[in-house]
Amino acid sequence: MKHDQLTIAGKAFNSRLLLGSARYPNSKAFKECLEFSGTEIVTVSLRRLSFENPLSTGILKDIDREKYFLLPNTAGCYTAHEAILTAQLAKEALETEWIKLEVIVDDDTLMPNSNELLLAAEELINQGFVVLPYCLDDPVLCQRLENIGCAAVMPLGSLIGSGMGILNPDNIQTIKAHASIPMIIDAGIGTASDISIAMELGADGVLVNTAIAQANFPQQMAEAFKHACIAGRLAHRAGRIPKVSSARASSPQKGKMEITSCSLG
Amino acid sequence: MEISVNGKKMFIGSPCCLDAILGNLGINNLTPSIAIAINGRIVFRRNWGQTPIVSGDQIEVIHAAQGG
Repeated sequence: MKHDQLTIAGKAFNSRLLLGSARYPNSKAFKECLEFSGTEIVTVSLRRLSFENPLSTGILKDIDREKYFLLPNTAGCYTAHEAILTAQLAKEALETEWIKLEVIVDDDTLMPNSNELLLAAEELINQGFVVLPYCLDDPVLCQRLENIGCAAVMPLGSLIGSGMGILNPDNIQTIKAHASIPMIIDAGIGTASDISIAMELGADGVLVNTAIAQANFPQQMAEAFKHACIAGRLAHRAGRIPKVSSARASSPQKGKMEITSCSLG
Repeated sequence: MEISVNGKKMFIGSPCCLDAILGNLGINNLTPSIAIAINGRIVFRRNWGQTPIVSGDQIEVIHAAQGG
């Protein structure tokens, strides 16, 4: 499994776990979580600079860009226009053409707006961006996103920050079965088993934020997720046995002793 | 004339270029990892010195922050 790398748009990564950079207890915990998770890709948002305290909201001081690949997002955008502008600003500020494209419907559900997402993705691809769209777990939509040139699809497991895991495993498998670009599960991870399930279903990677950052012991959870991701990937590649409704003895019948019935006394 | 920078009102005496406004905020062409938009359009760093600011302009100065 040494060479089982995640390759997106020609760039190879050894870890299949992507980490968000928000909601950690403090910057020390965040940096340790990056390390313990083994991640190589870290997402950031684009927000207003505070002139009173320029370092108060900045995150770059905590991320070694030699070690971690930055993936800016367009979180909080409601329209294609907003998302395109945010991607352009990210490119200018961070010197990357990669963008995790998010266009949401509202603040309550944070569900992706598929129409605006497609519009934004098409325009950004035309402008030369490497687009990774956060999208519904909809196989038809994911196929369209691939057809217009997205570098990966990032279907949700469940609502952002909900910790409800993978609610529609059949859709996730269908998306993967038809995709020739990486499928990264984004949103909904609650605990380590959710990651393993995602990977067992065939995901090429998983993006996690809240489930680590808000865990009682984030560093331990980061380490657990690292192992869960590797375990799920190995299990997927190993090929699970089919589910059947009857028992199958694992010990052979052949060679079994023949014992005459007798009373225990 | 009145403009806004990151949602806060600012008053400037006369028309000027973007780099002058940014200079007052401690930002110059060498400030790393930031980007500027005016009225919903990006202004590339190379153009900060030639971009006139007029009354009502809404300037956004952004940088990388926490995000998932």
